[in-house]
Amino acid sequence: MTVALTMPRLGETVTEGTILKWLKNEGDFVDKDENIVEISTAKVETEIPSPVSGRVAKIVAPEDETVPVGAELALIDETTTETGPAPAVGFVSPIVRKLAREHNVDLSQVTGTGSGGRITKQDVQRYLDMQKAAAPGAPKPPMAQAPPISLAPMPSAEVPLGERIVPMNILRREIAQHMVRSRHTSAHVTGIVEVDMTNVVKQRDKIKEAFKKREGFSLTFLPFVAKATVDALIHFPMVNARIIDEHNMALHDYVNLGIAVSVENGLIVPVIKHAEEMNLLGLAHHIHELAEKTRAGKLTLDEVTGSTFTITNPGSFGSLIQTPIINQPNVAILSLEGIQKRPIVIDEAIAIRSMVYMPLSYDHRLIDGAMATQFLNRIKEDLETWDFSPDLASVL
Amino acid sequence: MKCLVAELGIIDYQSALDLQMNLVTMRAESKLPDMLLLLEHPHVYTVGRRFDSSHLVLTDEEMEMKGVKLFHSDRGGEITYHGPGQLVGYPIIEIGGISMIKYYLRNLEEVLLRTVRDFGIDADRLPGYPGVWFGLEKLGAIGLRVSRGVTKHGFALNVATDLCYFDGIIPCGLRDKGVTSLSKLLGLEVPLEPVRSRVIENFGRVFHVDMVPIPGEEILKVGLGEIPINKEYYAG
Repeated sequence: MTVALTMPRLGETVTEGTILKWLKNEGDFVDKDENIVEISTAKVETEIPSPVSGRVAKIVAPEDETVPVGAELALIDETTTETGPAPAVGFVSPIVRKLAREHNVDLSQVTGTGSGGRITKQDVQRYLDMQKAAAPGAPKPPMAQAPPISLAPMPSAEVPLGERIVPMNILRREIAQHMVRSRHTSAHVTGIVEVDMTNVVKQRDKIKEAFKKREGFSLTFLPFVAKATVDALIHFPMVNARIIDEHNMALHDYVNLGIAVSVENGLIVPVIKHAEEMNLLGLAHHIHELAEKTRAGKLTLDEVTGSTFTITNPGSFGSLIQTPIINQPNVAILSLEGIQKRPIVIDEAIAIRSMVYMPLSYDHRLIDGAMATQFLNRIKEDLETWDFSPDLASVL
Repeated sequence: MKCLVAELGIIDYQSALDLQMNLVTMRAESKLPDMLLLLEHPHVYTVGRRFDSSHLVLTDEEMEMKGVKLFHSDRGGEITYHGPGQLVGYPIIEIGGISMIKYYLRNLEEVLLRTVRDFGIDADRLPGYPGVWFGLEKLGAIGLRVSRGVTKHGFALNVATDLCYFDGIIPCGLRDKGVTSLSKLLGLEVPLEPVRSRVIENFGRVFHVDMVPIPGEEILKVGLGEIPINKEYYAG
């Protein structure tokens, strides 16, 4: 197979690169990861290693030529290796020969991977597996990658009586794709803490009327939870991160807080940028304004992108516990459930307290259970102990 | 993860090239951990391999009069100037594959951006032109080379640079853009020391490494093979 070597992107806003020097000529053999060419972009010089082993079949971009990112630089023929095609079949061990005879294998058809291209037992086995897989009706080997996700409805011969087929609107279709993609992307785990909200309820009750009068909208519990969450995110940057590829993650020194807002037939997540710079009042205002804008369909693209963490609030509909799906590319999502008065044991007495469950779905690729629990407990502790009155002083 | 940081003082360009070459080899062979070298150069013009000679305005005689030499470097980028008052940083860091380079470049810019912002300068990136810019004037330049997955060269931040020296060249080959310095922007002579400590702190934050200072003389000797590598570099 011929593999194309292309100009890599060496800077995020860099669009082209120049060939400085070919380290291999056409016809030369190159090993995988062996440097094949030196390139230069606006600010970076580097060698590029060959993606495969093979023969340089064609140099497409000559030295000193500047080509766009992604352009073909050379073609590498993977089928030929330095040792060249083995003359007929070289030395083959008796065990391999026996295996081949038993399964009727023509050894000249088997690619040897042993030293000097020698055919090993594993090579014969691999060849047999491939033949088996290629045979019609044979069970296919497990796929290395997840199959492409298709949401197209199954074509059905006829619609059963009482069932109607209606198209999903664009928002629904996007949510559907996003949810499935998230499930396929992140290793979801959900952890739950129970939080005593009595402290928050008391403080909110005290100010509820004055707040409504002065600010023109109701103070919900969500801003309190948002404030505690932002505090916890600052202390646990891994929960406020993003996975870039198999080698890297991005950590954020800011919190862009996504708030899931339900709209007719869907869900939209507007984003509060730099939530870490806001006090309770600021968060309350931003949450209120973004929710209004969301329901009015007036959000700009900037207001729905760039979240680093998301809070969803099914509690406003009376939910007890949900296990939310992560809003990609975040690595965690917090669910604020319904607050209920429950009998709780405090010391040796039973008290009536305002309780709530807070599930956190997190990406186990990045976050382990210990960290997720510490993160949740930080939110819990904040909500149970914080005095919010300095944040609300201007209202009182 | 830790990153050694060494302050080398004023060091001539050729010695810095030799030093980096050796340290990159040692880093690639995992004999040394990541490190950041901080230094100043005497007056020097350096050019990358894609140098357009029309971007050097001065004649050889004029350069001799000014006491500036021209060096051919193996870094990326066009012609630039280094000199006293300019904080030069050479990170010798194993970043792995070439797909990492773009993130590394952005992180380097981030270190410089945070540093100048610490001094109240609202600098920014200029899309398509790596470096740190105040408007259309460059405050910090970046040029690097990555070999065997290890970086060398790095950044040059104009702290109290004598900007006259940039008049002799078309910096980075950009005719329509200028050069500035922290001192010029703040209207006072900014000493190198506070900038250096901000760079070290921001470097640690941006790259998420613990910055461990080691004496400059020591890393010079290690780099030139005069003393063996101390195993303690990896400890802690």
